[in-house]
Amino acid sequence: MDVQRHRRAGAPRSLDALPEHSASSPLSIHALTVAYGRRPVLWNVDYDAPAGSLIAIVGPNGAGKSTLIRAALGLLRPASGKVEFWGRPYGEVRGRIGYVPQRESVDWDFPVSALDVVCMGRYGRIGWVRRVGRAHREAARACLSRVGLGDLGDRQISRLSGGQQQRVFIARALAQEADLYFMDEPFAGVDAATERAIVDVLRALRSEGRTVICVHHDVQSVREYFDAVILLNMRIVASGPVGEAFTRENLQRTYGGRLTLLDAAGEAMARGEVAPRGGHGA
Amino acid sequence: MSPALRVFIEVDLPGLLAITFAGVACAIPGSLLVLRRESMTGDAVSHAVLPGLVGAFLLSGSRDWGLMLAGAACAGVACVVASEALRRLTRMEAGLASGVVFSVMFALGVLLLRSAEHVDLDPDCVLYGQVESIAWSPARDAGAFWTWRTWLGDGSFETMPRQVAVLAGAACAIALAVGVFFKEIVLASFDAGLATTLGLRPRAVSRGLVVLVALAAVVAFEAVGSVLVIALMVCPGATARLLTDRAGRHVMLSAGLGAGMGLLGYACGAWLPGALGFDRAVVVSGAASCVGGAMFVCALVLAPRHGLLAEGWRRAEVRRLVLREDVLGALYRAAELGRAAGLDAVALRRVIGSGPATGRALRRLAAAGLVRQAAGGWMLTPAGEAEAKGIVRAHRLWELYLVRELGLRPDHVHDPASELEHLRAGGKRVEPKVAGTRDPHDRAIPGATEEAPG
Repeated sequence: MDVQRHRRAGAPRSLDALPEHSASSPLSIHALTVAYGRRPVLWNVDYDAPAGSLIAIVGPNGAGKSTLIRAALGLLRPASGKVEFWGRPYGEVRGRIGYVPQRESVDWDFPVSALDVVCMGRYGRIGWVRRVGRAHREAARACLSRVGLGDLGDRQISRLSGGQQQRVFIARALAQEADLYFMDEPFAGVDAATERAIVDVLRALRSEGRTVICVHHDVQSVREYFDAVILLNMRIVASGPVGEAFTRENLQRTYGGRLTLLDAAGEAMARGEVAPRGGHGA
Repeated sequence: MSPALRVFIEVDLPGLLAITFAGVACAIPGSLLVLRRESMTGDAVSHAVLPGLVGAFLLSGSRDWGLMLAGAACAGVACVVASEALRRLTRMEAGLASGVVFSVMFALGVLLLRSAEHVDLDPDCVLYGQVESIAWSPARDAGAFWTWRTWLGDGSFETMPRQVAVLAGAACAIALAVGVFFKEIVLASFDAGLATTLGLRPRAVSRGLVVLVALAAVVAFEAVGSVLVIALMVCPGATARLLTDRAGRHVMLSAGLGAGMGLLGYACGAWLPGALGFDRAVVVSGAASCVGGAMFVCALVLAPRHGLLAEGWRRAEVRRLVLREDVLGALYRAAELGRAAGLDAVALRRVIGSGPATGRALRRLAAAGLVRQAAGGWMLTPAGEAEAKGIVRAHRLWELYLVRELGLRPDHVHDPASELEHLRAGGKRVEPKVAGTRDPHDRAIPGATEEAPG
C-alpha cells in the first residue's frame, strides 16, 4: 500500500519541503485505527489535508467514511493513532473546527426554530451559560440568508423540507466561522436548488481559504465539486488532488467488484469528462 | 378570622401549596424528558429512588433530608447507568432494559422498607402520597407516624409545614438550574454530536437531568406517591408539546400546567365531592392525575395547530378544495365535448364519484359566481371557465409530462395527473415544465404554446 504515500501530497506544497505531519496542515491523521467491538472499521489511516481546498471522502457503504470524521472530531475513541489540527490536539482548536452531522442524526420534530438551530453554531463563541445576544442572533440570521432561507428563520424545523433542513445545517456551520469543516453527506437526498446553494457555500468557504472535508456519496459529482479526494475502504486506497487520485483504477480498487454499475461513469471521468448530472431541474 | 378561612388555612392551604409546588417541580424536568423522548426515564427514576431513600435512612439512621436526597439521586443515576449498560451488553431494547432495572430496584426498596422494623413508611403513602394530611397546625407527637411531622420544627403554629417549604425550594432550585443551563440542555438534547464537538458533554447533561428528575421525584414522593409522580412529570410536558413549537415556551408552559394540575387536582379531590354532596373526599393525587389526563385530552382535541379538530379541519379544507376543482374540471370537459346545455348534478356525481358533497360544492361555486344552473343542468360562468381552464391545463400538462419525461404509458397517466393537478406552491398552481399543445390523448391543452411554461 505504498501507492498512497506518493499520492498524499496536497496541492499547494511539496512533500519534500515539509515534515510529514506539518503544523500548517489543517488536519493530520496519523496511523488512525478505529474498531467497533472487535471489528476494525478504519485501519491505519494516514492523511494530511491540503489547506484551503474542498476534499471529498468517497467509498462504499461501510467503508468507514463517517467513522473517519467522527474519530477525527473525538466523537469516537480510536483504538490507536493520532489526529492533529494545525499541529495541535482537538481540544485546543475547537473554535476553528465546524461540524455538519448527517441530517438523520437529529430529531427534526424538536421544538426549535430554524434560527435557533443556526444560533447553536455560535455557542462556542457565546460561551456556556450565557444568553444568545442580539449580535449573535443577527449573525445567525445573516448565515440563514446566505443559504437562501432568510425569511424562514422563525419556522419550526419540522415544517421545513428536507433540503431546507440541510441548508439550516449548512447555515449553522457558517455561523461557526470555522477554518476547517467536516460535513457528513451534505448532499444526501437534497433537491437541486439545495445542492446548488450548498456548492455555492462550499466554494465561498474555499475562496476564504477555509478547508472543507465532506463525506460524499455521489461519485459522479466529485470531479465537479471537489479539489481533492480520499478514496476510503477501511484503509485509504488513494488520496490527493482529484486529477491524480480520482482515477477509474483507484475507484475500482475502492469499490472492489461493486463498481461494475459505475464503470461507465468511471471511464468518463478517467477521460476527464464530467459525467452529466441526472435528473431534471423541476 | 372566620371559621371557614381558618379551616382553609389550617387544612387546605398547606396541601394546596404542596401539590402545586410538586406539580412545578415535576413538570419542568418532565417536560425536558418529553422533548428528549425519554419519558420512560421519569417512570424509571421515580421508582428507582425508593431503595436510595430507604438505604440512606438505614445507613445513616437519621431522617436527615440531605442524606436521603443524596441517596435518592444516586439510586436514580445508578438506575439510568445500569439500564444503559444492560442495553449495551445485551442489545435489548431501551424500554425493556430500563423496565427490568427500575422494577427490580423498586422491589428492592419495598423489601428494605418491610424488613427494617424501624422504618415507619406506610405502603399506602408510597402509592398515593399524603397531601391531604399536611396540616398547618401545632404538631402532634414529634416521633409520630409520618416523617414530615418531625419537620414541622418546634411545632409552632406560625411555621409552614416543612414539607411545603421543601417542595417550594425544590421547585425553585429546579427552575433555576434548568433556566441557567437551558441553552446547553437544548443543544445536548437536539444534537449531541455538535454539543460534543463544541466541548459540551451531552452525557453530563443527561446525568444532570436525571438528578433533577430524582430530586423532583423524591420531594413529590410524599405529596403524591411514587406511582403518580409520573403523571405530574409527563402530562404537563405532553400537553404543552401540543400547544407550542418552541422549547423555551414548552418548558414554561409545562411548569404552568403542572401548577394548574396541582391546584385543580386539589380542588377536585378535596372540595368537589363535598360540593356535589358526597360525604367523602377522594385522594388528591389521583384527582390531580386525572386532571392531567383531562388536560392532555383537551389539548389533543382542541390545540390550535396540532389538535385533532384543527387537523381534521385542514383535511376537510383540502378535500373541499379538491372537490371544487374536480367539479370545475368536469364542467369544463363537458362543455368541451359539446354539451352546451350543461351537466346535471346526477351526471356530475357519476363523473366525480362523490355523493352529497358534490351538491354542496356546486352550491358554493354558484354562490361564488363560478357556475350557474341552466335548463339542461350546471354550466360554467365566464369566471368559472377561466379558473377551470387552469385546472384542466395543469392536468393535461402533467399527463404530457408523465408520458414524455417519465415514460409512463398514456393510459396510465390520468389518475396520477388527477392528483398532481391540485398541487399548489406559494398560492399558485404548480405546472410541470413541459412544452406541447396537445396531451397524450390528443386533446388540446388550454392556453398552451410550443414553448415550455416558465
